[in-house]
Amino acid sequence: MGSSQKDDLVVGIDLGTTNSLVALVRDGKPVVLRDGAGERIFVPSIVSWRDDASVLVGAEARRRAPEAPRRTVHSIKRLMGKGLEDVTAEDRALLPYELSLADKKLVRVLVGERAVTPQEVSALILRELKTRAEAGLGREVKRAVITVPAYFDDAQRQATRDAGKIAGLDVLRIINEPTAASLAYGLGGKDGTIAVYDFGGGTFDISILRIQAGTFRVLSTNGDTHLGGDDLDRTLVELALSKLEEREKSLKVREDPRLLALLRDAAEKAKIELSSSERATLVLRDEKRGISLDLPLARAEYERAALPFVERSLSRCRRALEDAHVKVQDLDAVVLVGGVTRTPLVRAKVEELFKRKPHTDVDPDEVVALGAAVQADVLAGSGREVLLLDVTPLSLGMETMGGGVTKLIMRNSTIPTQATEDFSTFKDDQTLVEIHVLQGERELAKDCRSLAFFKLRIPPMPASVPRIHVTFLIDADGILRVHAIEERSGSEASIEVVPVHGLTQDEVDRIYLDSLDHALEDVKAHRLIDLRNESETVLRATEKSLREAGSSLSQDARRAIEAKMRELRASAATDDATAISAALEALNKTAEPLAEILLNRVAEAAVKGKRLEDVGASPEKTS
Amino acid sequence: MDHFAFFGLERRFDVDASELDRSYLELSRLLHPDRQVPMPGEGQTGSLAARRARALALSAAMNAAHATLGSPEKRAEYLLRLLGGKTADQDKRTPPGFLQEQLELREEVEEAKGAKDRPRLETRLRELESSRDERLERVRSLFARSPEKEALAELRVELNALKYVSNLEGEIRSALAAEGP
Ligand SMILES: Nc1ncnc2c1ncn2[C@@H]1O[C@H](COP(=O)(O)OP(=O)(O)OP(=O)(O)O)[C@@H](O)[C@H]1O
Ligand SMILES: [Mg+2]
Repeated sequence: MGSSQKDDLVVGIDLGTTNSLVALVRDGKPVVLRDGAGERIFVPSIVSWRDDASVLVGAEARRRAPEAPRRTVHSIKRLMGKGLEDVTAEDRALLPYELSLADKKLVRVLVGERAVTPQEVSALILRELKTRAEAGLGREVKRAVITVPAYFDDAQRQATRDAGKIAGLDVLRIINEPTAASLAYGLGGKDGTIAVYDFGGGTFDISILRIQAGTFRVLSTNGDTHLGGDDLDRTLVELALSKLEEREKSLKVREDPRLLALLRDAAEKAKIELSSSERATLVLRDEKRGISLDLPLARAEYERAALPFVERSLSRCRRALEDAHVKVQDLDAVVLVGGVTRTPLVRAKVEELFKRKPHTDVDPDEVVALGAAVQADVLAGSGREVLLLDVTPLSLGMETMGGGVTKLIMRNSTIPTQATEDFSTFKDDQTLVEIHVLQGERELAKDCRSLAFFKLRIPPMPASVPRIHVTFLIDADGILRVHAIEERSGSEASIEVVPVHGLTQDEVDRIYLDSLDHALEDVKAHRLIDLRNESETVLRATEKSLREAGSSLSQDARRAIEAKMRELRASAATDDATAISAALEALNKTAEPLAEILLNRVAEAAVKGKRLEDVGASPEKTS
Repeated sequence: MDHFAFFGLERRFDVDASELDRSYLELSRLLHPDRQVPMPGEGQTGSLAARRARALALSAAMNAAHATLGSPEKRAEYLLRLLGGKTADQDKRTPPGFLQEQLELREEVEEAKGAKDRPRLETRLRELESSRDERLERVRSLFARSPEKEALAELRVELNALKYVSNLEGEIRSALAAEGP
């Protein structure tokens, strides 16, 4: 061990459709990080390719959009984990860039000659966050917790995890955005039942949670991954277009990507203005062509256009309440998250449905990143007494004969979870069993999201004789693993479901190596920083364990550990990497009995006197 | 160890919900993968990964067990199996006249859904709820008579009917939630 250990720093990242942020817990409190120049890291999720293939990310990319509408990519989150056939007409209308038609299974964005996967675009945004955070912190950032909309399906979650890997991040956990928000909200010990209403740039989520002594338990979640501020911008663009087409017949705005990009920007500005004033002017200005048009807009006019979208969100809220078996009067608070919740119409409608004024003390832009930082802190081993019990948003099942679906795991099941199903063959001497993994609530396979096909080879046997036992396991990231075994022959197949619309592990690795310039790092300096950080972690953790379990050690063992701690402190103050590494090794070795005691305690308590090994994977399977 | 024992409960149909929840939260705090944090000198690799993997298997099983015991219908199915009763696949019988009744009810619900007739849907929902409660009451008294063979067979019939009732109830609920008042 020793020097193989890594830095204990884990950041929380909100990878948004519109904006992305990175946060970290400092002195027990989550804060949004600042870059080398001291600026708050708040990166528009936009990537633009220059003609020489160099890349701009964030505000600069956004400024370049009108100039290079086809080489500038925004709202890429809408395409994560999608196949071409999943891209709706709405998406197309929204996204001005071209999509590659070469691979039906995996959407790629065409930037000039290059076809870029959404995972890579997201990785560029993540890398921007990482680099700027590193500049601000003066140390390397290797590990992160990344948030996703609660209603993301398996493929979308995996795509996000892969984006992290491509950006060179070890993604310790994928957590749901509303859950993260609840963490930031509930830290001050606000126990009770809450609803988190998150209307962001691209997605809508609603989660009902119960907070109880540091345990954040999601009771239900619902949402729409195609509902966000982007859609509201689009309705305003349409409204403006219909007015413009009457007034300025000669301007063919619809066929003009540059003007469209300018119009979209102007529409978003007007939309935001309408949140604080009754009227706004949409200003479409193209200096290069001497175009300057003012369109006055009234809030009422905008609200009429926006109402159907807000209604859609409310319908999702009602379903979530229903699934949670919670009535609005049982709620203690409604927490608003996401930029769109600043819209007066949204606030009024939320208040009407939940019969209470929503809670607006948290910053709707930052709260998700802050919550992710809290979870990162927990996983880094800070000892904070917080536990998230989240759910899977959509049911999971397998296709049956005749195109039906057998559901193995129901939506809103607490994760991690597992379920098994037994079945057999229909034909004699069948040697290939195909398993089609599906996600969704509909009755027919064709209406559900196809996650993966996989094959199990078995020896020939008469029909109905084979006993095929399939296990679904959803991990704490909400990602599915499937295992199948034919029990008579012992033929097995186990897969980390590689979604139909995803990248394989090899592809992720290759992109990581290929497409990102790995600047040669000063290996030595890094090693020293790593070792110092590691020493800090180990020292802190050992102190904590001594407090908790030190009394179970012999005097001598305790003294020996304390001596090694002093030695490590002394050498960590020097620049001698070899000495620090040796001192670390020595402390680790001396502290082994302490680790043992702690592990045993956990195990004992866990099964009330039984060792973890005795329990194995029981309790036995359900259903 | 069966699900009941895992949570320190007696193996019977009546479960103290607050007792189950308390035990579940306590175990979650120990078994959840996120609670396996680096120990002294452990870092984020090696033995930590192993502990997290074990915790994943255990808490997945525990959550599934909790979901089973937390719902009266699923708990009844599970307990019936433990007592040696038949599965729904092995014995598909329903009470006499029940299927016909359900068919008519379903038709009416479809019609009300089509007509967006909220009051009618709400009335049907209340009826279904009370019919479910009655059946659960019967299930409770049948379990009290188990492991009598006849009681087990009757339980199977009741649970088959209960499944239809809960499904239809769920459908009405989601129809009502989707539309809103
Ligand atoms: N004052 C405001 N009034 C109305 N809308 C606003 C306001 N401020 C920001 N928005 C809108 O909020 C959206 C961005 O919200 P947010 O930053 O929460 O989204 P995101 O986290 O990037 O997206 P998502 O969570 O969906 O992935 C944009 O559509 C933006 O136009
Ligand atoms: Mg967001």
